[in-house]
Amino acid sequence: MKRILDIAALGGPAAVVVTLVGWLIAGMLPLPMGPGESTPDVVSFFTEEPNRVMAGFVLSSIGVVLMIPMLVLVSVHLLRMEGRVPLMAFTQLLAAAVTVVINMFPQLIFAIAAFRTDRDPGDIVLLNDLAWLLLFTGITPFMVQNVAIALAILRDKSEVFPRWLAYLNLLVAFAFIPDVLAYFFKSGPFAWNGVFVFWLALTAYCAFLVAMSYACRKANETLMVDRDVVLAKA
Amino acid sequence: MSALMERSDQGAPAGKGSRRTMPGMDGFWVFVAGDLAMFTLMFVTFALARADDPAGFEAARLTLDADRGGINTLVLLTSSACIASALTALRRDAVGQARRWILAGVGGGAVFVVLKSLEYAAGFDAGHAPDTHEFYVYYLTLTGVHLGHVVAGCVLLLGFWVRLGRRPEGGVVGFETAAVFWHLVDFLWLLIFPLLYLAR
Amino acid sequence: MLTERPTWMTWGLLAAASIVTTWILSADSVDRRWALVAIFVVAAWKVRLVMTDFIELRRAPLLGRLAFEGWAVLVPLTLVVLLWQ
Repeated sequence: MKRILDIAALGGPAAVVVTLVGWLIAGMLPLPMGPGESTPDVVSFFTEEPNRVMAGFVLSSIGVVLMIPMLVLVSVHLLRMEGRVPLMAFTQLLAAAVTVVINMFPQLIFAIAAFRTDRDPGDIVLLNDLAWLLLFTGITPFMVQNVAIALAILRDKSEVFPRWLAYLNLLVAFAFIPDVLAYFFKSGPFAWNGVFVFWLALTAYCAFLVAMSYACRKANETLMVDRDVVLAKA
Repeated sequence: MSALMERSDQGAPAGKGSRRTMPGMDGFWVFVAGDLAMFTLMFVTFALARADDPAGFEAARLTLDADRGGINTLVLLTSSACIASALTALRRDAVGQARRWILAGVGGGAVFVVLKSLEYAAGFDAGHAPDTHEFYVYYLTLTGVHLGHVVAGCVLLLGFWVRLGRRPEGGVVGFETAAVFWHLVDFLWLLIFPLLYLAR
Repeated sequence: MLTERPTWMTWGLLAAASIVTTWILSADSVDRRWALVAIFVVAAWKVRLVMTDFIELRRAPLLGRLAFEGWAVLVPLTLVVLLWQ
């Protein structure tokens, strides 16, 4: 059983790798398009090689769901900490489900923007705005998730997860706050492609997924001990 | 690294000499390091933007009230010293004294929040909105995020003031962590202030 | 330094340094670059003082001290370089 749990724990880093490779193929990385880009430039991004763009974003949408097993595993461990009143475990699980949707739909909207090359340019700009702003400003479910994990760890005495992980989660929640500024800037560090939105959120989120993966694999080791104790008692 | 992660409530010496762990709760230094990384990012982007348009940034800087900023520096430093005194008192089990120091420290935080709010109000009255110059974007973001830290710190410290009133016993590690956060808020201002208000 | 400074003596040093930077070094009569360096040297010293005395980093493990006190030196240095012009 530990084997499958350890594989589930790799879901986070796998999601990071696959999603970022998808973005590279689509052309969203290395340097993403900003909100100040002209309409013809946005149109040509999606219509010049629509198949490459669609393939990239479809790959990203597949990458996103890879994190699901790991997010469930996080709640399994939170459940061990909380016992019979698993408020944070369920809060995390529900918030995580919402974050997967928020992460996934913009990838599909990007792909939809490339679906018809004869689309009205204004519509392509709209779809581009929609995908970007949904992806980067829908931050509250992510923050709820981070805070739920942090609270569970800080209230826990059993040390299933290390305490630094709680602070890391609070920090990741902090790092998402400037994202709402993306509505007010068309260029500069607070625009959606700026340091404080795209790069900070991406770094923080990748750090979250990798750290949770590491902590889950460590916690998997103690899960077996728990189970042996229960079996021995029975 | 594992030495840093050890629980600090076990045998953390109250006296002199070196201790095995970082101050505050186990792992809290991760939060401090990340918070510092984010502020560093803001400082550096501000300095880079300023280098692009020195004249415009300088003109905007002159609209700030450095006197009020200087007073706020002294207020925060005093508040930090109060919280350090509270920790010393708590280690001596002088809970009543510690609570008075905490209240004084929070009072300093409250003064800072009031002065900052007045500063924002005066700034908006004078028409210094973010859309008039890039400087005000950085000014509002840096001071705004910092002000958020001040408010969070006040709430945290007040929580300890209440808890120590109800349950005077218990360890000092929790309060030590809150104190570390409060000093962090203090020393961040020690860099924000010269960067925004003083550097010509 | 083995002896610990009393809290309010640290406060006195910090307050005095703040008064000097805010109301003397920032005066227009002081050369711009000279003032820039002086202001950030004092700021670095103050940040480090808060770390060692208030946060009690003086008694922390060496690796932690190096990381945080190193930050206190490197960030003001970087800012001086970027604002030098």
